[in-house]
Amino acid sequence: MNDEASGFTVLDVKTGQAAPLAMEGLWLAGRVLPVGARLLVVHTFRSAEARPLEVVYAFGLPRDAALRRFRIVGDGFQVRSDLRRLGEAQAEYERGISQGHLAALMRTYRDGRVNLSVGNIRPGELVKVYLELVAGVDLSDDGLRFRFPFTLAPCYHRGARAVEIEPGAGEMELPEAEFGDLLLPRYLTDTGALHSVGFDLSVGGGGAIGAVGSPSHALRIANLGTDDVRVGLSREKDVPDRDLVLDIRMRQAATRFSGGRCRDGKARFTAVVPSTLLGKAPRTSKSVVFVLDRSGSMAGPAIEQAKKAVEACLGTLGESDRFGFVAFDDQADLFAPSLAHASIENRQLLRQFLLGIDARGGTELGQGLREAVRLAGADRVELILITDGQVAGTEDLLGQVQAAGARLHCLGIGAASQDRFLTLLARTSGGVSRFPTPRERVDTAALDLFAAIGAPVASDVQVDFGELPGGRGILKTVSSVYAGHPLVVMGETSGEARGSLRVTWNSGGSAGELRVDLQPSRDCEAETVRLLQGARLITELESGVRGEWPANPQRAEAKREDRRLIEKLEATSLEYGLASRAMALVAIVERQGDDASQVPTTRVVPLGMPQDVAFKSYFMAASGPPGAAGRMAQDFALRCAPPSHFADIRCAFLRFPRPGMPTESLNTVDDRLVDFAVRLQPDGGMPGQTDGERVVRTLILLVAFLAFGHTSRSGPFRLHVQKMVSFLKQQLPNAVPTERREPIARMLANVEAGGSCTLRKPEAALDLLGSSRAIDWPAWEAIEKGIAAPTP
Amino acid sequence: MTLVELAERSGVPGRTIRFYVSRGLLPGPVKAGRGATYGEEHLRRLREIASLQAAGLTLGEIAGRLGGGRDGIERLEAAAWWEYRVAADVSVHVRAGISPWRLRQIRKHVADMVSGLRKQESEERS
Repeated sequence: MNDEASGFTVLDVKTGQAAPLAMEGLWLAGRVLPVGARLLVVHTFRSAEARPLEVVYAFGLPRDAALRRFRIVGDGFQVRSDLRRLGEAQAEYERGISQGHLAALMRTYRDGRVNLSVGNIRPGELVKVYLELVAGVDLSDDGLRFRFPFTLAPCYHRGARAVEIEPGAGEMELPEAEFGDLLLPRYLTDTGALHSVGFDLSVGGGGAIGAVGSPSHALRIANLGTDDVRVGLSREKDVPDRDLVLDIRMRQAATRFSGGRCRDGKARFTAVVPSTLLGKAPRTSKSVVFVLDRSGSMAGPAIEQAKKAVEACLGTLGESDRFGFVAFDDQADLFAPSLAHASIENRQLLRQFLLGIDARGGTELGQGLREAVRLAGADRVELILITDGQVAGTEDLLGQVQAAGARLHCLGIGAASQDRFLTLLARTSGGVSRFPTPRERVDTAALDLFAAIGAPVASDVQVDFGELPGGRGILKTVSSVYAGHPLVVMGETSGEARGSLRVTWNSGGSAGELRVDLQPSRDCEAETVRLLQGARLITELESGVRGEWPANPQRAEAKREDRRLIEKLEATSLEYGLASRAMALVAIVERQGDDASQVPTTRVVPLGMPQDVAFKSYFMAASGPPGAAGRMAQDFALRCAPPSHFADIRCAFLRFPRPGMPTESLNTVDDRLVDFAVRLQPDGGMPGQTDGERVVRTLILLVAFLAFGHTSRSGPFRLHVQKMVSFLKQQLPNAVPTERREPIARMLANVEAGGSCTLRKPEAALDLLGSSRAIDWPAWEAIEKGIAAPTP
Repeated sequence: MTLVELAERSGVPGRTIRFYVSRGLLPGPVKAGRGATYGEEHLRRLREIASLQAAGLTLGEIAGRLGGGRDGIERLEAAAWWEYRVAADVSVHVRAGISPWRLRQIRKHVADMVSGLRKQESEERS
């Protein structure tokens, strides 16, 4: 248990006394492979009750994850779980509890939420549950991001009941018709009194690792060899208020394999083919619709950075490109009723519109998406969703997006982002997704995503398994590949994993082909790869199951569809030995002295509010007496609204302190780069009084971008760099003095080839651009002198 | 009846019934021990809880109404609420899940109130 000094404790709602915490710690171990992770989560429960205890721990599954099995271990016993049909597992658990046996049940609900229930823990007893699971990872061309939830974020649902039960403690309940008997934790703003969390993971198996880092936790890293790294928490323990996020970069962006021969004689493999091997994205005109979540949970820097990101993305568009903008909370607001050309006038109008956008209200994501799809019309338009994804009942949204046929790219932000849902949302529609954490910048992550999605690197992608003995794909391969996002192929053969895959695609009207040789594999990874394939299949099937089966008898058709999917889920669960919404894990421990005479006390393990989410965006306290402003406003309201509406307006018109989170820019280098990126004109140049001044300003900004590590091929500002180069090349014959043309042309050629340069005092270049005085060629001369030799 | 029978008759899972007992929403079994039994009162109470939940009350509020909660908790009325910032330091909270026509009406009145507030502020300044 976390024993750090804290002025806060968890109180029993009935007695008002300090409630003993039932969970002491959660420890994550396992191995992260290039295609996913095989994990062991150790839950330590200790009863401080005077009577038998039933403890319920709620958690969310990571992306593409499934539960394999668990062991329940205590003094003198160790029992493994069985995989059973849901009804049987529940009945078995209830039988065990009623007979006084120690019983454990692990059941998955909608949105990948899970309840682990352990009942009849004896007074003073320590019990550990070792849970095995597999989870997917967020793949990029040159590495991956691994994410594991240590807390479960509250979520928006139209039928949710949420209330602040005491200062800094909130409770949320979801409607039974959809979520069954799911129990959610109590959310605490003060995490000091909660259980401790920690981790120790090995990473490897995919080639030489270049770097390992985490934006969420301080790491202790040990190199076990060039291909293997061990990563742990640098401090002894931490608190459950955010996801663990690990970034792993490989030394080279090369094809990565995992797999080998399984016990059944078949070989399973997963190949990750970098998008760079499939070519470069052609520059075509773009039509995009930004869909911005402005719900209360986005309050603070997230929404401000997201707004800036939208403006900066527009800075990469030309006059022929078109855009739309939808902001949604419980209603959707449109910038314009149809797509607008990305002219400088329209961008300025959007800037004005964005000034009125702040965070408020609920997250009616469906409504926002409906408006975006309507705005897109029949055209092939890329939708970019910027959200924390904290919604419940996500299966309905997935169905809606699938039916609309729109391509949706997701930028998921937050300390406990629903990346499982947002990954499915993007994948279902053929788009891509990225997930920055609160300690990273939303705007640069949005620019990075935006740079990737202009046009696919490859479309109509096909994978031929014909040259592999008994080869076949496990999942349908995506039809489009975007820059930076690799092609992932999951397959199996009847023998060894040897031979070649043939990948064909279309790129800008011409056909492409690539042979990918399966590399010698490691059989020790084969079982993990098999389980990851099963988890992916289960996740995709689960995403189609709507209601709480077999609830809601009125929806006969939905129920029939759910039943069909549940049958498929059962079969897939049995084939792979993995739990799902149709199959649960249960264990009963019969011991000497089991006492059926007492009904256990049930306690739900509390969790920390995700560190970046405003408590008040979900939980409201009871209203106190209104102040003078409140009385004034209530007076207005009484005159404005009939009394019958007052049941629906509450805490009305009380004065709240201003939000504590800073919303203004911190004016870091990235902030300044975003500010300048926003100012780029549709032709790619900076604004100025004359053509000459525009060229000089653009040149200075270009070398500043290069000096800060953004080239035409890498970095979130790569589209801006490309656009500036294109502008400068056009201006070279007319607006550049003859004697300067050759060195500038050389520099532009180097930048086009992906080259960079270093600049002495690059901040001074930004200061110069930020000043209001006219800039001409002498200013460029001064900057030019500070440029070191360009680096290819 | 046993817990299993109570669960079957009420449609409320056994774990939820135990949770309600622990939260003070439901009395414990009439007779403890291997033959722990529950009566019609438990069944009636479970139905009452379900109807109060359907009306938008949280378990904490229900516990208060049914007499098992602490002071301060039972008086809470909230279900889910949307917050609208109508001025720099004034918020309006509107109950979520109300019908669209009602929401439109409320929005209109809130808009009227906002314009009134602005007018008053400008008068104060001048």
